[in-house]
Amino acid sequence: MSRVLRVVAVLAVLALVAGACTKSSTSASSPGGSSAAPVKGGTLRIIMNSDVTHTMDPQIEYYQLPFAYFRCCLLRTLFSYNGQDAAHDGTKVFPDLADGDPQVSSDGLTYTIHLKQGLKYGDPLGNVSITAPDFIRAIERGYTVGGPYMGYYDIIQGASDYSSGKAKTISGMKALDPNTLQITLTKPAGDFEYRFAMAASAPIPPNPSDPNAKFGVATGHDESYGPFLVASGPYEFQGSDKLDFSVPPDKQKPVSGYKTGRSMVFVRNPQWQDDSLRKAYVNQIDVTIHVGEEASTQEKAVLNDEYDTVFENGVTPETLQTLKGDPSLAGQWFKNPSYGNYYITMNLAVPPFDDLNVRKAVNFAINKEGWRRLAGGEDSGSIATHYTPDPLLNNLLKDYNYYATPDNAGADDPAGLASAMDAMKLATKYDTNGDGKCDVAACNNITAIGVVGTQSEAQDALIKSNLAKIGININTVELSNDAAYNKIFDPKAHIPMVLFSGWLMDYPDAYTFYWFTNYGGNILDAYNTNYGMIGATPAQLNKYGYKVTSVPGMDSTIDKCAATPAGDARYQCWADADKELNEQIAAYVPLTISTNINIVSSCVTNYTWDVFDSQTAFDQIGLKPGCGKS
Amino acid sequence: MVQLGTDAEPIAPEPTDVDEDINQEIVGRSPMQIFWTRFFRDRFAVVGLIVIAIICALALLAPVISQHVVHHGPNDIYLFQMTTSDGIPKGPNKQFWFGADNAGQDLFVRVLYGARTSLVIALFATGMEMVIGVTAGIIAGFYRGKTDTAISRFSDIVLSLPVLLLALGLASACGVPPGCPGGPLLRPGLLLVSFIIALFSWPYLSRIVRGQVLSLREKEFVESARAMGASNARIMRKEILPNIVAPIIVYTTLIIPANILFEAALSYLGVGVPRSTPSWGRELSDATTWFQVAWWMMLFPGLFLLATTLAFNLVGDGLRDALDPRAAAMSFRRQHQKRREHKAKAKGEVQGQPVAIEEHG
Repeated sequence: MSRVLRVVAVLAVLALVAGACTKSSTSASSPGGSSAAPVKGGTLRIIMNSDVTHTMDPQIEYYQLPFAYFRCCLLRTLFSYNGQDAAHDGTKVFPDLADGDPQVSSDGLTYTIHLKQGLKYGDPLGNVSITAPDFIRAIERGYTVGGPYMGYYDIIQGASDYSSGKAKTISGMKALDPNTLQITLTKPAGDFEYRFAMAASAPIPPNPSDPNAKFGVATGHDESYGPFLVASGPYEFQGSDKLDFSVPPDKQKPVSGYKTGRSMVFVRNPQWQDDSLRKAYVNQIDVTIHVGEEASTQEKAVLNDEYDTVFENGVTPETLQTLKGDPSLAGQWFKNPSYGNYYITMNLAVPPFDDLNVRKAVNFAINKEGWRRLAGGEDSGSIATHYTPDPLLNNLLKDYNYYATPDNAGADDPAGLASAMDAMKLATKYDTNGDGKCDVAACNNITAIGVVGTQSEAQDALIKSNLAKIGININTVELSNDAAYNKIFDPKAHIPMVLFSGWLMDYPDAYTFYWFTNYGGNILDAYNTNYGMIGATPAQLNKYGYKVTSVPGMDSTIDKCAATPAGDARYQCWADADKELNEQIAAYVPLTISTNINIVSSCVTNYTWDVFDSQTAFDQIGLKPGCGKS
Repeated sequence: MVQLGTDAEPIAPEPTDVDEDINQEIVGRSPMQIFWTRFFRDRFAVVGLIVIAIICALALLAPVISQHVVHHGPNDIYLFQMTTSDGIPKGPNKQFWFGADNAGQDLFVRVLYGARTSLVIALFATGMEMVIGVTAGIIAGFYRGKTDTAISRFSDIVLSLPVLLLALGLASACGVPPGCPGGPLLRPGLLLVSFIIALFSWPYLSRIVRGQVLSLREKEFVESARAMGASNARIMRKEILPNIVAPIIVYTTLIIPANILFEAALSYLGVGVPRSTPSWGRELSDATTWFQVAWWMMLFPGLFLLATTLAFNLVGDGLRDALDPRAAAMSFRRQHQKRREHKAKAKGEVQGQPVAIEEHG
């Protein structure tokens, strides 16, 4: 091609690109809802750009995504949620397969639960009743396959002996009769019913062809029971009626309605009944999985009614601008508080963060408002002034802000910087000349792990800039999500600072924000989520190669609050624990409590926010007749 | 022919301009002069060279401009001035000529600093790639046999390596202290990016060079040199290398922009330069999320990248035409053809019609 033509071609491309770029409207629009009366029928079309991590195996899955599908659609548990927001009791648990609240012994250790009568499993076991031994089977399987949430069941008597191989059954779980389950604990747990609302405790049916199979129909599928899942909820995988458990596990064919990494199709479970929690208006749910696809592409598809909703926790900035600028879309997007937080973690066992005053100085220095602005502003969440989301503390700390700075601007405000420097001056080991800035070598080149991403890196740059003002110079290392987690999960890696920490409740109780992340006894050799080494014993610190010999902890506080019965006393206990964490340990800089923005197509009616799943409640929404896919 | 005068004395003809020219000393042009003459005749190549010079100058002067002209550093953050409450960056204004990027930083300054990063990585990586690729290609093509097989198979292995996965692995394993053996070379940054680009790109150049050398080694001038006792190293250096300069240069100008984009991909995956080191690739990467609400984030780095890419391409074409004897010969034939057509017109031979003789400058 001649050079003239080449230049002309380039200019033509530029013109095309310029034409493709449109300026979005800036007129404001607020979210709304479509509240037309839902009718039964239709196929709900969901798209998502990430996949489950363990093929929908309820004992092994870890993240939010599969739990939403388990609760709404595939699995019932002893207790469960009503798929509503907090204002409509969405944070409470109700009897689901249990016929009422459990009977609790006077010492708070023994729970007796009666099951609803006559409930049966979905295809192909439509004539098999859900019975008490099925729940024991699920918990035992969870320990055998090393499920990530089995720590919540360690309080069951005999669980630790079973998990260590010393016993063949869990002595604290007994089926008194087919419809009565008795569970004995080693210590009281005020959140007992929440623990048995988790998918890991969902019943597993026996194998009619092999009644002695220890894990029933899940036997032989230690790493991927999902494609062979027998449902107990309003839906089941398409093709479940073709499952054949009479052949050996390695010869069994998985359900046709689950194509790993590509799609899931849920159809009605013909045996589903006696369920006041789930409405299940739609006849079918089609989940399309396009791993890695741009979120904005999927959001556009929803707004074009090609899909009914996208499974995500927030929309892209460009989609948000579109939503705000187009009043006709007001009924298709919804903003809801999520019970998740984002925070920075400092490793208490790595200098200079082994000094409480340095940690306090960091808390004052961070520009939380700027961080939130980079996350999308107010629509992304509320500023976190303490660690635990307020609703989990019954809003007892709503006005609490120990590290307050003007406009939450941290060191980017003169008064905020002054507060940070005042705190640093008290750290005489690190601020040797008392000028409010760290001046020793330990404050230079501090590794801070973040994740790659346009906004997360911008946020890391802001944190770096804030900390530089008090003499703490971090070296941000942004890695892919997997690589970053692999680093911070390893207590031997001695990561000084984690910039992308976040936690979402496992169930609506503050305990879930403390057990894994702040309990010294839960520091693990691998997959450790106590990144700050809070409560690590001297032996643990030595084991992991730290030179620091002691760090503060709050294990006894956590134990005390966990044993407190549900109610005002429990809320107060956790509120006090939060203050202790904030003021006396200060391992974290809480940044925001996230807000979730969901979008739906124009076909969706009765939009409902499921606060437990932090997602659209797929079992509560309906579709307009004749709309979308029938 | 000498004209005879009346006294039978030969009359020397009056000297003409042509004679004067003949009488002047004829000075031969050196290859370098010929090269530059050809090159500067190519207007597009000259424009390309000017553009590259301007961009290099801007890159060198970036700290001066940043400090004394706009008074914004490349990593200074202006969140409250240059982003909306929703975090949307604001566009160009009097203080921020290119607007702000998604982090509230001055895009103009980051584009200037980005020129340094992108050019350094591209040139450094390209230079390493050229040295390794040309050396491997010449050796493989010249020696053939087992040497060729070994080098070719090794380059096949390198080509089949999953580049991005390895790069991610390096970043994960070596990006966090205590790092990896290799120190700064294997830590995310300029060096690692250049190293990865060169390491995984040299086989392409090596194959091109090998192909050229396989054909050149059979030429008569190589045989002559061998007959005169030249060593293999000398033959490769003095006979073969000059004859493959043109394709190497053309390929090099094509891979420079490709390397800039490769750096962007690596940066996006966490193994490239950190955010504190601006680069066009990274700015464009960030812009993909924002361009519908912040068009300037894509426009300005994109224009600079486009201009640089185009300039290198044009310069490369000009260099090829100036260096390649066959291209020069083709060029001469085209010029000769045009001259003949010109003269034919002047003599009125076109279409059998007499035409006025025109003076041609």
